[in-house]
Amino acid sequence: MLEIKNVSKTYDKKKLAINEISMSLEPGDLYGFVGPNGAGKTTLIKAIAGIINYDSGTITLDGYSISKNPIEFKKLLAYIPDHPDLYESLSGRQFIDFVADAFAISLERRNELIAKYAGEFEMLEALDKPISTYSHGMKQKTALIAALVHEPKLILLDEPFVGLDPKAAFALKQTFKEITNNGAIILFSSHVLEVVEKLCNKIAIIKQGEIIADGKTGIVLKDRSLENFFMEIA
Amino acid sequence: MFFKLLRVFFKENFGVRRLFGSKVANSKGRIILFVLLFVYSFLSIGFSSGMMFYTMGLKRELLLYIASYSTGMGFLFALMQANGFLFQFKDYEIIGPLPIKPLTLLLAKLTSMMVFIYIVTFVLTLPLFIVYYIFVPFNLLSFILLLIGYLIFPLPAIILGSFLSLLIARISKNFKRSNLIQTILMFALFLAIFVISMVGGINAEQGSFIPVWVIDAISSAYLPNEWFAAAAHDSNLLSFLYLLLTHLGFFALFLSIISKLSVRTNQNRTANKEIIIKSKKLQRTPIFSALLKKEWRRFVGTPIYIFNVAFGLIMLVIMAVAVLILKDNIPSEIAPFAPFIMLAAYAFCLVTVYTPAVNLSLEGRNFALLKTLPIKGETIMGAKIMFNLVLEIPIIVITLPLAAIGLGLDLWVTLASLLAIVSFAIFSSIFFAWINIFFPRFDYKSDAEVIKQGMAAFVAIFSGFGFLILEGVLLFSLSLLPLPSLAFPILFISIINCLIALIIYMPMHKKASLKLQRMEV
Repeated sequence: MLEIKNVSKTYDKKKLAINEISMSLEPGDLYGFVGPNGAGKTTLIKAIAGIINYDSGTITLDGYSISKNPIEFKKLLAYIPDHPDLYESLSGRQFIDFVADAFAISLERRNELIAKYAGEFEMLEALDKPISTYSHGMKQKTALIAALVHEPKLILLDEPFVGLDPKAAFALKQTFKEITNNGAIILFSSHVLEVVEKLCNKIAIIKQGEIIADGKTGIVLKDRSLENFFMEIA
Repeated sequence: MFFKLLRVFFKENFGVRRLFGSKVANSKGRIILFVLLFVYSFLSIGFSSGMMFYTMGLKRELLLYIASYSTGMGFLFALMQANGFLFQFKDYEIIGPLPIKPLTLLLAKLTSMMVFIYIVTFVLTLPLFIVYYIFVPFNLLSFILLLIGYLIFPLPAIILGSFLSLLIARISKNFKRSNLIQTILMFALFLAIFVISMVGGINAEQGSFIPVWVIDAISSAYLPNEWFAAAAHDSNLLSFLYLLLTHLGFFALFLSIISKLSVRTNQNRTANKEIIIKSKKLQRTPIFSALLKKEWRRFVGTPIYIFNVAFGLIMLVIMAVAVLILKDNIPSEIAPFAPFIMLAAYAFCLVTVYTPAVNLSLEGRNFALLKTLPIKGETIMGAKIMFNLVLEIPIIVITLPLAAIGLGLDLWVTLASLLAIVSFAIFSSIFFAWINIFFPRFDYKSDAEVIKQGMAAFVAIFSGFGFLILEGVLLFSLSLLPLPSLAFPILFISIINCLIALIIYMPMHKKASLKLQRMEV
């Protein structure tokens, strides 16, 4: 379970990026995170991933705090940035291997999962080419495979559908459903409201660093579309 | 995990693709050409300076020169690189969320930075080592002490450079124009070091051979220099022990401090101060001027660019002013060689101003956009060449007469020298632009890959030095002819420069559009 309690973050001690955010994500949650540009989505995701510090509050995953037990927390976590700047001198397979090494995944298991996800994302042939030759979408897929290969309990994704071709986007949605059915938590930000509305069982809307709506998709939206709701409140 | 990280960092930082770009990495011919140029340049420069020590019988000083050189290089590289390697990882979004202990990560980063520094300094000082062992009999104990001493000696400089690198980055972040402030701070630091070593040198009162008085000045002020020389040259074990314990002690302290600092600096990145830009009135500018403006903005917006290509120009200003101020202290034996020294110094500094060798590559992914605009290739390249000349010519025109007055040159030699240097600037700018056309690189992640480590930059500098040496030999040979004034051979060199510049510019004017069109991003 991911617990975010009263998390705030300012830049340069002046600009408030996120303010007293509290959220609770349970195993199996597929959580869509929407908001205008600069609302604080990426800041919150990066704070959960331990990439940036936050000023106050707590973030815990299965009892581990990202600030107090970062290694234990990170063992359960995968993070995919919006523009994955992977190591371009490595091949896709070498990069995934490197990430799998960091999580001490057995060779047998990593081969099995690489074959599964590379097949689903149509990356089997490309994986042995240097990342420098990849398109944005291929880098995104490589980052996704690397994230999935260690079977994390929490996956954080910043704009995961940007740059993906329709087939890969479909495969990603299927994968999201499959891994959340197995008990993982997914939190992703997106501007594609239709996808969030159809795919997620929970949504949160953030505006100027504050959560203005949060909860089960059906309850939050009632009988409105997410687009209409978003236009009303954001 | 440490070794796995190290392998990835090595591949990422020092791989062939990283150094040459993915397109050039596939061209063995270009890489061989580069290696040959590299070997030629460093062997010739290294051996020639080493042989100066040899001819003067300065064995111990040569060793101190090597130590000072590697310390200086270590400091310089740490200053330029440590912030990225140790405190603000570019790949933190990839490795930050991985369950890797911060100390392991930091050690891997530090090791890759240190290996980079040691490889570069070793390559640069190898010819000097060879010269040293030509006139000092080989002794195994001395050799071992020299080797270990060589590895630990630059550590304090690297530590100092690392902290200053962080400090400069932190200070500059607080300003609106952080890039410019960062560049100014770096320049100020280098100038301070330069002035201190100059003052030290003057006090040493040994004006005939510059490296010797610099070395003496450094050695008298910095005790470990003496320990290193005593250990490596005289096999003095006590001095070696002093060196080892103090330097490793410092390094251990450094590690303990930065292990926590590194996590903090990486996690506490803040955005630069916001710049409130008042909207200006739109202005219609001719395309050539617009391209020049674009080059200027790219230049002033990239500290590493200014720092690497403008240092030669700053040096020219400093040298000219220094020569003018210290004209009464210049030894009379130098007088016959003064025009040669001045011309060599100017040409040397101008070779280091290599914007046309990198500014096409610096278009990066934007080059695709540039290609779609209705601008002729020769206009694009012309603006890139002109930009270099705009940087160089005012400095030459202002400083060269000052230096000439300081050195006591007559009017005709001064005018001929001015012409020779301006023509050299024109030739080198066009030549460098050709080099960038032959070795373009658009697939880079950081500007440093193009400006500091790019193949075009290396080739430009090395071949520029090569050309400089050829012209120097030619000028010296011509000066031996019974001519009424040295102005004639210098004028002859100017004519050669102009002719070559014209010859290499003509095909660029005709073919630049086609060449640029064929380039792929």
